[in-house]
Amino acid sequence: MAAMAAIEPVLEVLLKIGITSPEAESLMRGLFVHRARDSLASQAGGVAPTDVRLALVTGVHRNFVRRILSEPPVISSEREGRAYLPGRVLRGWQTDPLYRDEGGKPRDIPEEGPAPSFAALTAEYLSGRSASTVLQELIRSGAVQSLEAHRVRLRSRAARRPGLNLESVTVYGLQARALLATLTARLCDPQAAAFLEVTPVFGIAADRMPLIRDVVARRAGTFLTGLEHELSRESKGSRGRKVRFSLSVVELAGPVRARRRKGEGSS
Amino acid sequence: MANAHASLSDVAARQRLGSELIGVCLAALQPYGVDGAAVLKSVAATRAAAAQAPFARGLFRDTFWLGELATEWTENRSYLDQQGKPKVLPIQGEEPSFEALVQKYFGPGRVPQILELASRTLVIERVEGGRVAQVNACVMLNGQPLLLLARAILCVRGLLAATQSNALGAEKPSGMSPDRLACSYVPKDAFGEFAALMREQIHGLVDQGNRWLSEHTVRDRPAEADRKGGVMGVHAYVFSD
Repeated sequence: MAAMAAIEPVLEVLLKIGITSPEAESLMRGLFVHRARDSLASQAGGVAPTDVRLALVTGVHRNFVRRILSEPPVISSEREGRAYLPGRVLRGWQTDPLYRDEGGKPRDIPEEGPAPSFAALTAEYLSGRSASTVLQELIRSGAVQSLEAHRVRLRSRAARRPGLNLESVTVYGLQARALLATLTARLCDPQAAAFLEVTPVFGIAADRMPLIRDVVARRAGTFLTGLEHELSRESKGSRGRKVRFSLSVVELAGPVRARRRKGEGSS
Repeated sequence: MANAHASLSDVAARQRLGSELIGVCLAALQPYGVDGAAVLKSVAATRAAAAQAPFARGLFRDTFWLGELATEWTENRSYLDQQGKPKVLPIQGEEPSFEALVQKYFGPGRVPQILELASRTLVIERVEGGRVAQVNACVMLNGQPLLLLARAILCVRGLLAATQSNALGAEKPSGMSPDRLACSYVPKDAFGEFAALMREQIHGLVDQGNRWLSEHTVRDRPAEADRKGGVMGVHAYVFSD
């Protein structure tokens, strides 16, 4: 039951992108065997386990173990998206003081008119392109939102193709893997160095949630920006062996499941 | 500094610090064209009244309530859009409107004056169709020496009140005013980088304080707020001396 809770969101994505159950099982099996090999090798000081041992641990026949290990289980990174031109406009919106409020956050701007406006922003950062075309593309991608009175709002730091596609699912997979790695480390060893703090669950009035989300986004954004500055300096200055480090602030959202009362059976 | 401190009696040290405080204030007033000698003379005559800074309070009153207005615009659900951001408001009309906010915080008949003040202090910008959009939730006084000076006087009072509380008053840790300082000698051309680093952090900190204060503030009768409670707040700034 506990493992299902972790896997369910992944299955949801696999369903949406049209992966069948046999395909999902095959993918999972491949990942499972690769992960088991890495884990056992790590425990043995880098010595790779034999196929027989892997078969014993994973329950997969040793002939299949060899075949599975002969190819990588992940999507090749060769197909990463090319530079996205409207991204320059987004970067300008986030970094140009003229387009930020006093808190340093990108501000809502009118579509037309002198700076600060979207037309002026496009002329500055994507000269020669039609502001209305760029705007249409950014609205379509979900990076920009159209507001009343011909004003626009920046919604995300980067423009990505909307919906489920190779790029978005790859990002999803990497983030899910990183989050689960931390959760797993803490689950296996409560003293693990990886940091994990969660607030208690609060009951918030539904109509207050947009405001609360905005406050959390502002506050967490500020926190992460500050740490980004410090970690960036740390990263440039340090020598010797390095480890990958990143920090996420995640809203734990989802329907609240009612607690089962005593005496109620399961179906 | 340690030697200087050791060589003076406690009373003499306090007198000397008092003189330095007045000296620092007078020196800081010089760029505003203030005559130090005349100030000292008038303070001697009206010391008790001047200590309450009534003129600075009066000058700053509209700015203060404009800040409260902007806070309500960012907190009250009827003034927010679906993303929790302040709505574009019609200037005239019933709530939610700019007029309704002005009525609440400034009383009747002051819409044109507050519109002008809010535009000048970068709280709002006018948009098509007789409407206004919020640009900043805080009142920006850059380039307005008189208002900035009035605010500085009130902030100095706040800082000295916190100092007095920590030095002479509070016995329990819960009664102390948190007061932290970070400073060091740094090349002057690094100030821009430091200010940029701290700007967002300070904004976040003040935003958090502001949300708590707005939940507890006495806002039904602005003109008499002083009688109902004391001014509490947090003031954060970056400096290069």
